[in-house]
Amino acid sequence: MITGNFLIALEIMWKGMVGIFVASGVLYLAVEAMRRIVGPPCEK
Amino acid sequence: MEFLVEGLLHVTWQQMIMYGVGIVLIYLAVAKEYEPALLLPMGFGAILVNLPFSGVIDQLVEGSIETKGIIQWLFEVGIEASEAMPILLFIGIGAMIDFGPLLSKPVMFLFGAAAQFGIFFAICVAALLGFDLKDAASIGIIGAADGPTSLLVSQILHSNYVGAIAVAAYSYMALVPIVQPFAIRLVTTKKERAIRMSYRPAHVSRSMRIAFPIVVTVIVGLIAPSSVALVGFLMFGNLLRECGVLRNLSETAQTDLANLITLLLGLTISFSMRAEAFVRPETLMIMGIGLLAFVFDTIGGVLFAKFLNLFCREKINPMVGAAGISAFPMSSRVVQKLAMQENPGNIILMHAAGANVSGQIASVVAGGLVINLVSRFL
Repeated sequence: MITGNFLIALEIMWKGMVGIFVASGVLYLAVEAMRRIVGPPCEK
Repeated sequence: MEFLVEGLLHVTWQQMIMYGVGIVLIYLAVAKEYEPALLLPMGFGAILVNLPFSGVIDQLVEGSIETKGIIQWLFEVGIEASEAMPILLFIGIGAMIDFGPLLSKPVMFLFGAAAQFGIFFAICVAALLGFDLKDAASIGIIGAADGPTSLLVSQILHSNYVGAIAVAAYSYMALVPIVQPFAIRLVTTKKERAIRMSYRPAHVSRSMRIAFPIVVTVIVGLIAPSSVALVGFLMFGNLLRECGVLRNLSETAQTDLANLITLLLGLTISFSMRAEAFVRPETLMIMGIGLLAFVFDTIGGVLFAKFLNLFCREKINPMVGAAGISAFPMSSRVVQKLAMQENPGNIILMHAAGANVSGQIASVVAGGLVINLVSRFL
C-alpha cells in the first residue's frame, strides 16, 4: 500500500544511491591522485 | 517438590519454536559449515535465553531478588551502549583485507556502489508492507551483507527487530553461494557470463597502501559522518596491516581479537532472540525481505556492469558487478567459480576481488547514509 513511508523510502533510495556513487567516485579520484603523488617515480 | 518442575511447566510454545530455531542454526553451522563462528553461538544462545526464568537474562527471583544475567549484560554493554562489539570486530576485519586489487583498478569502487542497490530496494519493500521507517531501514540494511553494519544501524535506529535482522544478515551471508548464482542467471546470458577479461593491474606502492586507509576514513567520514565508527575502525585495522611496523598487533587483530569478539558476539546477539521478540509474523517477512535485498544487490551490480558495457570497448564480465556486495571473500570466489563453469580457464578473480573489497567500504557508507537520511524523518 502506497503510504507516506513508502514515498519517504523512495526519496531515501535515490538520495542514498546518489550518495554512495558520489562517495565511490570521490574515492576513485582520490586513489588516482594518490597514484600520481605517492606512486612509483617515472623512469628517466 | 513443585519447584523441580516449575521451569518445565512454564515453557511456552513460542519458546519451543526458539529451541527449534537454535537447533537449526547449530545444524547449519556444524553440518553445512554455514558461518559456524556466528551461527553456532547464536543457536546455542537462542536456547539459553529461552529457557524459563533463565539465569542468563535479568530475573526477579521469587518476586523480590533481582539477578543480573550475563547475556543481557553483554548485550547492554557490548551492543546497546556503544555497539562496541561489532565496531571492535571491524578492526580485525580491516586487518584481514588486502585492498591491493582495488587500488590497482580503482574503477571497481563503482561496482561496490551499484551492488548496494538491494538495501534501498528492500527499504522500499518493507515500507510498502507496513513497517515503520526505522524498522524498514534496519531491515533494508540486511542487504549490506555485513553483520556489524546491520547491527549498528538497527541499534542506532532502535529497531524492534534486532534479533531477526541479525539472524537474517548472518544467515544470508553464508548462503551467498546459493543466492548469487540464481540472481546472476536471472539477468545475464551465457555469452555474457563467458566474457573474458584481461588483468593488467597498475602498480600499488607501499606508500599508497598506507595512505589509502587514512584517505578513505577522511572522505567517507565527511560524506557519511554516522559511519565514522565503522569505517574508521575498519581502516585502522587495515593501517595496522599495511604499515609494516606493527606485525604483532596486526596478527592479534586478525586472529585473537577477531576470534574473541566473534565468539562473544554470537552469544550476545542471542539476547534479541527471546521468544517474545522473535516469534512474530514479522520475523518471516523480515527473512523474506532480507533475501530480496541480497538478490537485488546482485542484480544491481550486474546491471550496472552491463550498462558500462554499452560504453566500454573492452567488455566487462557482468558477474564482476555481482561481487560488489560486502560478503568478502565468498562473493568473489562464487563469481570466479561461475566464470570457470561458463568458460573454462576464464580467470576474473582479481577483478571480482577488487569489486568485493570495494563493497566492504560501500556497505559501510550505505549504513552511514541510511542512518543520516532516515534520522531526518524520525
